[in-house]
Amino acid sequence: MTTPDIELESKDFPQNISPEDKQDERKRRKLLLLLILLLSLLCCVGYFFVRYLLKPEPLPEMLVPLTGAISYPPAYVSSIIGLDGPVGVAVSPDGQRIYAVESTGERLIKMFDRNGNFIKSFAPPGTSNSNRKPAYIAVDAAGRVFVNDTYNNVVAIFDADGNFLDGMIDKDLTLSEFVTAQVGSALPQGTLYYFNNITKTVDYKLPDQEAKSVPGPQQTEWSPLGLRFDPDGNLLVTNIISGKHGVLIYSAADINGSLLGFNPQIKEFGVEGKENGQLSFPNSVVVDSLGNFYVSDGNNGRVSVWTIDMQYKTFFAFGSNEDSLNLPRGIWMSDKDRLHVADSVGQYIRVYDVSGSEPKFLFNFGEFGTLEGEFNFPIDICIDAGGRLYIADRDNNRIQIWSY
Amino acid sequence: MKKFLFALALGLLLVLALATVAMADNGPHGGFTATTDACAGCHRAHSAKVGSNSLLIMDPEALCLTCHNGSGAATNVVDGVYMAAGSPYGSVEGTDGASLFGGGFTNALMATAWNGSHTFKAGSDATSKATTSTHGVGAAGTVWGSGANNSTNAGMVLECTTCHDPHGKAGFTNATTQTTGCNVTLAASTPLTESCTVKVSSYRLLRWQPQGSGGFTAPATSVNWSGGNFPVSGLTAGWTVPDNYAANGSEWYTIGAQTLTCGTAPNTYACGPFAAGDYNNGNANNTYQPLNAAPATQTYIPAAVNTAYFCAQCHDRYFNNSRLRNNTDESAYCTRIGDVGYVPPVDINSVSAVDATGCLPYYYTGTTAPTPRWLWADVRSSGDTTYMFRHASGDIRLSMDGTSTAGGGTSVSRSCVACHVSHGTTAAMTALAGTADTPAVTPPDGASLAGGSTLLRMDNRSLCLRCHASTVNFTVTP
Repeated sequence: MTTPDIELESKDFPQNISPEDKQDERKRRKLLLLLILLLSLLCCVGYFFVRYLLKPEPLPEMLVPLTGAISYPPAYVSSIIGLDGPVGVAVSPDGQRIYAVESTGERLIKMFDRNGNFIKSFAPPGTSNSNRKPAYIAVDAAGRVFVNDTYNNVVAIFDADGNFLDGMIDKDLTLSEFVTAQVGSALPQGTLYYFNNITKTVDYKLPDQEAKSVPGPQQTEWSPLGLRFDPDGNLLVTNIISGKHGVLIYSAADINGSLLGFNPQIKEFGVEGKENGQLSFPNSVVVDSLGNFYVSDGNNGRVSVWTIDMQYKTFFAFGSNEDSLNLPRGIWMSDKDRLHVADSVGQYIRVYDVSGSEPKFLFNFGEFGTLEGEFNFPIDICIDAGGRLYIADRDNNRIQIWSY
Repeated sequence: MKKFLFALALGLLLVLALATVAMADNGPHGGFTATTDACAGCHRAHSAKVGSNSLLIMDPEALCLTCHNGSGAATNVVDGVYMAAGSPYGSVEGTDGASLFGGGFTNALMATAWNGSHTFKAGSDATSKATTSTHGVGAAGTVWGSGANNSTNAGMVLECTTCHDPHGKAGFTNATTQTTGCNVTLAASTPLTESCTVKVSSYRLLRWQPQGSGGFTAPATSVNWSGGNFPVSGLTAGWTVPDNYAANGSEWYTIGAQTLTCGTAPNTYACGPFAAGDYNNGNANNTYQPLNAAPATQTYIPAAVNTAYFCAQCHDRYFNNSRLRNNTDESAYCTRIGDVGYVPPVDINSVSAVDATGCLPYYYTGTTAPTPRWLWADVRSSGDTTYMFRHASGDIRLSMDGTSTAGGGTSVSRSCVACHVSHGTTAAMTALAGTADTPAVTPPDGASLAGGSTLLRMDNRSLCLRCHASTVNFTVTP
């Protein structure tokens, strides 16, 4: 009996593979691996790009935190120059326009584009640099620019292009309302009006008519200083009437409604003093995601907190610790409940996480100086939706731009 | 081991360098307690940006103006206005939008044109304009009229803290006479170096003497009350500038009367009442007497001379207290002892300015007919070739209502501030007032004072007419 012949194919036997083939195989595997990695990276980039388009956020905020919230200071980007003692800064809702308020020189409100190019300047009508003193500024969701003229106690309201619209000349009184009552009829297009705090008169001029001056409100309860809009569009105003330093809250409905028939339901809190629950020259007020109020309690060197129901809660950043404040001025709340405080005398911006039960100091950035990234009396701060910070660097005559 | 020690040392150095951390400010002007943190609002022990003895965290001008521009204090000295209603300093300054009496540094709210009324009348006449001259702070400037006769005017950098004590009422006490915010009894028997435990709130936190002024230098020819030397700095210890508005709401601030308690408990004693500071009451010891013994018929606020003294700490050669005596001070200055009704020759242009009797010329016609009237004349040469004869800067009677009788008004001035503001003015100078002095007078250092508004309250020379209207036959209107 014989063993049948079985045809075997070469594949049935281990073949002798040449070293060159082995090397080629390794190269192919490496290339394949590299290709997979590149594709993965491309997908990640594409994901974040699309996500950023849908909801602009700083990159660290988009990453899933490994061990909790990432907290590190922003980095200096650039500066907008050509300003005289800027003390207020705001940005349009789309982030394309930056408004800066000058406290010296011509005391104008200057508008720049996102790249820092000057667009135009404007000011309250009928005023000069010797009888106006714009300070804090805020922009509402519609792009209207609210500027506090502290010299005349007028919250001047401009459109996004800097055209004067109206002004709040008392807690519950606007210029348009006042002048309309004087004239007795609707005001024609081109009517000019403003309030003079020295003469306590409202000066107005209808088109093709002589200018007139009539006694205006006494403003006994109205001495606005700081301006902010909360996420719901409510206007928050700090008021520094002697003995009654506090906060006024105007609802979005009132602010967005007819200024001609301005009849706001104002909520307010605060009295002047140094004790708990008291304020001394509050310069700014913001809210957190729960609606709690944070007040830059300037001359008390602290941040004071009131609940959404306007009940005094606590204060922080006062004392002689490394997280304490010297002379807080403008403040800003980011969407992660991070409170940014411009410490004008400390010469830096301090950042606190107020999302928890207790405020937690995170870091500060900036220091005294005239170089890039250094401050010389930072007075105000705002942050746009993309995480760019704008800081009014008063004595360096510039708006500094930082970014997370 | 060496490396470890080195690293440790380096670490310690690093820690110490960073030890001075930011501390909170609970309001910088007083209210201090034993555990105060207020010092840290303006000072740094190791990382100050301003040296000397201040150790300030920042240039004082920038530091002060961070609040005193309206965002941290009602007194907006940049624009010279009040920014918030309800100031405690009286009916005029307390009004929102009202003027600050010192004017402002960038702008000021003043009525500088002739209107027959007050310069700082709130709500009317006053308009806000850019200043034309200021007591410039933060930059080097010339202290006109400083120093001894014929000396070169000093240069200095004036700061807010030169004149104002930011420590306010709760000022520091030390054993010298340069205590701030403190009054002591200045009777003849009281040692002038007495340490003071009394704290007072001075008007506008003014010091009793400008810091770094070097002190007043009396002219070579004494013009004080007793023929002796004028008190040098330090001897009029603790004179502050308390607030005391006249009842009629006068626009002028004054240095008024106080009744205080001095000494250390339980050994306290009344120091005062200080009717006013008055350089007129000299005594044999040349000790400054705070009590005014002017005739009862004279109603004035003699503390005006304190303002002049304050200013003269720097502007020595402008000071001229022409009120050299009152009717009860029969000083050796005048040999016509006992003759209170003496009326010397009316020759105010006399260069020697001393009549044959050896008395300093003055005019006093008594309390009865002729009409009682004090008149002052700058007839005493200082001996300085530039500041030879100077307008009286002591107790100046001023007709504030524009009447033709000098000294006839009911409002009275407070010496230097009768004509000048302290921070900045908007007064405009034109024509002759805006050109070089005629004849030209060049101070020893060659600098000219021509054309400047020199902190004057009114345009051109309207101020002169406020007192000297009748002298120049000016018809007062309105």
